Amino acid sequence: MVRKFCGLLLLASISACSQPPAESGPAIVVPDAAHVSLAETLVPADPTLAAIYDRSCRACHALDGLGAPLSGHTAAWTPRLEERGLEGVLASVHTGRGAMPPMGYCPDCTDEDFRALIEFMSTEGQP
Amino acid sequence: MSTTRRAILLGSAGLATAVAIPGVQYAAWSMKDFTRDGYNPGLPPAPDGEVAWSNWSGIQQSTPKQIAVPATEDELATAITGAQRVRPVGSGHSFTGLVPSEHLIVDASRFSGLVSSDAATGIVTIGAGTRIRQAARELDAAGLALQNLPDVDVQTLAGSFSTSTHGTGRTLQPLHAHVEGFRLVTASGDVRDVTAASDPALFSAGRVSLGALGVITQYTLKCVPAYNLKRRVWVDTLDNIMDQAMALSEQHRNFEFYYFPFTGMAAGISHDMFEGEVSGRVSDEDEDTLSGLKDLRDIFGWAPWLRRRIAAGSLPHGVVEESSDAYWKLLSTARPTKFNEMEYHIPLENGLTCLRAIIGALESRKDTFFPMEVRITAPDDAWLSPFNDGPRMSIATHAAVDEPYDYFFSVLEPIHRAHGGRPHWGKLHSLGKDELMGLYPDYQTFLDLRATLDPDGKFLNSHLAHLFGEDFDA
Repeated sequence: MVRKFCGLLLLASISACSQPPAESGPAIVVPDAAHVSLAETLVPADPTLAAIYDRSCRACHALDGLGAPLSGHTAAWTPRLEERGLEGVLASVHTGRGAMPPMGYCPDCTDEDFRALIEFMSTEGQP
Repeated sequence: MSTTRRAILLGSAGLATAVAIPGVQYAAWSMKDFTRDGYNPGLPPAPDGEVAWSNWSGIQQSTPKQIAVPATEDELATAITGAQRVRPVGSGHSFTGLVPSEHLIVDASRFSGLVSSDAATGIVTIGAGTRIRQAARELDAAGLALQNLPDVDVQTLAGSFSTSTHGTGRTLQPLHAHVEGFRLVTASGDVRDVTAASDPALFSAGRVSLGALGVITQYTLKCVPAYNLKRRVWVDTLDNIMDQAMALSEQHRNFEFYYFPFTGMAAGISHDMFEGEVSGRVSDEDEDTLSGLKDLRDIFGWAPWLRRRIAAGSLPHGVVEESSDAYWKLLSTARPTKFNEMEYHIPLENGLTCLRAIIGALESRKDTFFPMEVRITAPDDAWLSPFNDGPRMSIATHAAVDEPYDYFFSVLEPIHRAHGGRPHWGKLHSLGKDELMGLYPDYQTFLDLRATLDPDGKFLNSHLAHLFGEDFDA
């Protein structure tokens, strides 16, 4: 829904005098066109992990503009991993974060699965 | 080539007006806390031996003993027969209480992916737990496409079909209308292969069945050849867009519009079939847009006239975006900003009158800011499809996830009802059996079939018991 009224109203002057967001996180690292394009095609090499990625992660982590760091866009993942660590990012998957629900659409995933998926998504993608 | 044009920022006239605002009124408004009572974004605490579940927006929560994710129909049947009560979950995007259970929640998302496809006939079989975007991507690779898409594409096929999820298009039916067959695991653990020919009653009931008849594991769908669309977004006055809405809905494959409360301005969006080299999707600026609307409310909400004047000076007029791409990259996306929503489907002939009344009611509250969405859907024939008696105009109202939505029920719902509205099954409404019996000619037939398939009420929870007029003791 939101996407459909994109770009219509950007009241920056108003925003400048309003309150800062209650929840702050790492600065958003905007992906370039190459990373946006790359994220659409990357999948884990391991077939089991690829199946989980396809059904649970890909809808958001392969699409720019949702606030989720893109697969293969290391620059977006690094601040998160530096701030929270791998275990902290894993904890975010458990509890949900932003638009991601608790367990990231994979209630049957093990922590090992999640760590492997985080590692895959945070590794710089190769065309 | 795609084009997009950002809005003009708050202009000098707006600024001059802004500095002249009465300080006392502004100060009082600026101290207002918009957070609703009871807002708690966290998961519920789960006692030992239970797990926590929440829907996407957080207003539906439960602590079932297990969330099972079976990999096979045998595992699914074993889980169902072994549980006292069961509720299936898709992606948790329903705002109504379709999923909460204190016993077993079944997640069917491992029934995922394209099983087979025939490009010549367009007939495919696909896992019912496949999320829409994955389905669209895999179908695209097979040269095929879904005939339309909803706004959100992270839902599973079963979750979206079972709640009569829809897109927009005067000639386009809701998603479930293209189901040719499905496999259903019932309360007894039996697996039923259902088509219109094999079991016409169950086929009519099962396409939109709220997860009340069993758990669907696979669909057979009628698809179309892969296609591209050309997207156009423009801004005009609400009056102009409403005057043209019926004609625009006939001129374009997909037409919808958004109204920005307290601005008098609306955005029209059309999609039409496109041949040729695509431009690609234009980057989102959604969060900036929504933030701007919220800030306008936060700062100038106390003075609707000022809010309207600033918005009129800040919003662009005319075409703001033209782009082209594969249909599944344009029509829907996941949503980063959480909200709660009510959507009623109004008989098309009453749609615009109802919309006027809803806007009037919404703007009687100074705290609303989320855009309203208006879409049109063509009829189909599933027993519980809200669209099964003719084309309907869907009017959706949203509230920020941490803000009040009680007025959906007290103020908006009576207006929708007075105009012949039927609620979206997955979006907030208060209707129970008595009201629904009056809205759906086949409701009792559905209830009778449900009682036959699930005599012990295994698939009931308190919400479904309310819908069906059943006693429920948890």
